[in-house]
Amino acid sequence: MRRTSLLLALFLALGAAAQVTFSPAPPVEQVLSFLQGMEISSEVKAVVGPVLGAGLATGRAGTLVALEFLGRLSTLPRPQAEEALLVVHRALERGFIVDGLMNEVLKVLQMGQPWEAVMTTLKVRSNLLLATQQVLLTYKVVGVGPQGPGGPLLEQDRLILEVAWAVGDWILGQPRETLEVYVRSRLLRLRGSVLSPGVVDPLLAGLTPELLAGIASRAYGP
Amino acid sequence: MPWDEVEAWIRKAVDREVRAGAPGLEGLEARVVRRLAHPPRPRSLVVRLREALVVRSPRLVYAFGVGLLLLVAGFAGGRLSALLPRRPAPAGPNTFTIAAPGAKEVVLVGDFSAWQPISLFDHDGDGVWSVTVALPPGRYEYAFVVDGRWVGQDPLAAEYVRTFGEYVSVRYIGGEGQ
Repeated sequence: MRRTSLLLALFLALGAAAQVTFSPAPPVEQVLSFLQGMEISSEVKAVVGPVLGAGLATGRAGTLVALEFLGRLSTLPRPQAEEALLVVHRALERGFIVDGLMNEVLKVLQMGQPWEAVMTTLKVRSNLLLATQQVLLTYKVVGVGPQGPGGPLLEQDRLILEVAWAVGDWILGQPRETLEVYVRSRLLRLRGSVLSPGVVDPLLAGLTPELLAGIASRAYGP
Repeated sequence: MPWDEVEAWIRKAVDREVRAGAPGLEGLEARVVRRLAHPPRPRSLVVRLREALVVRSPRLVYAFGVGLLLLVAGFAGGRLSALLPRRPAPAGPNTFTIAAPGAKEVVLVGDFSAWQPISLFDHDGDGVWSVTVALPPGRYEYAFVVDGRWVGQDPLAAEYVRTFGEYVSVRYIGGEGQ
């Protein structure tokens, strides 16, 4: 009996030790301090600093991903670092959640893709965020949000992000499904976890090929 | 031995054989004529199947039957499961596993770690590498890197996303997963 208990305890201890738990997210100050220490122009720092600070404080940017993003940019040539940083800054300035944008840069770099690929995907995603917000406002799926980095984070902000991301994945990945099927399937999978039914159901009810074509054409059209 | 004696023995042996088979030959001609006049009806498919299945060892029949059942069940299960959505993994500890026999280093990269590598381990040396990561509800993109090679298609993933010719796997944690 005692031996069984001992083995069980050992097994549980091993199980707990084998599980990866992430270190606590760094504080906002650490991220902003890192930004100030980067070898980029003081003008860019002055523009990005306050917006990033507001975004980090309201949850539009996570401190862990922001620190990794800045850390990765600091290893790149200055023009490239500033170019990527300004795209993220513009999205944050409009009030979008930018964790996805920063993660996208880290992912494409981790894949070993050239810088042109990084900027292409970053611009595609950024354009789609804006286009999705405008179209969902037109269709009255979302209301007018804070429109800035400092306002409270709303559930509709997450909805805009997920729709823009699904459309972007469809454009970049070119799967076999139609755009509507692809986006609907994605939203259904997210329903109940990151998107509450109250927010996503009105969109699911009104999701049409025209609405999605509107997002794509607004993002890429003239 | 003289040839005459041998010939006599052969004749006796043939006579014996003919006499022994004679009863079976009685009425043979009549039977052949009757059969030609009334050919037997062709056997039905069921009868032929039954005959084919009736073998001396009943165990062989059972084995055949069970095998057939398993085949049908496996096929039906596979077809049906493809139509059903895969339930999302529950929030909390999530295990990522990859078979990479002979690999020296296997890491997991994903948006949950800002694409920073997390080491996988093969504790028992069987070539299966794994790591458990605690994840809150959400949608997560990830890939394995095996000895520096990008492996973006995890068979356990809910879906894949392609970016610039490379795949990443996607796992949904929590939610309804409809």
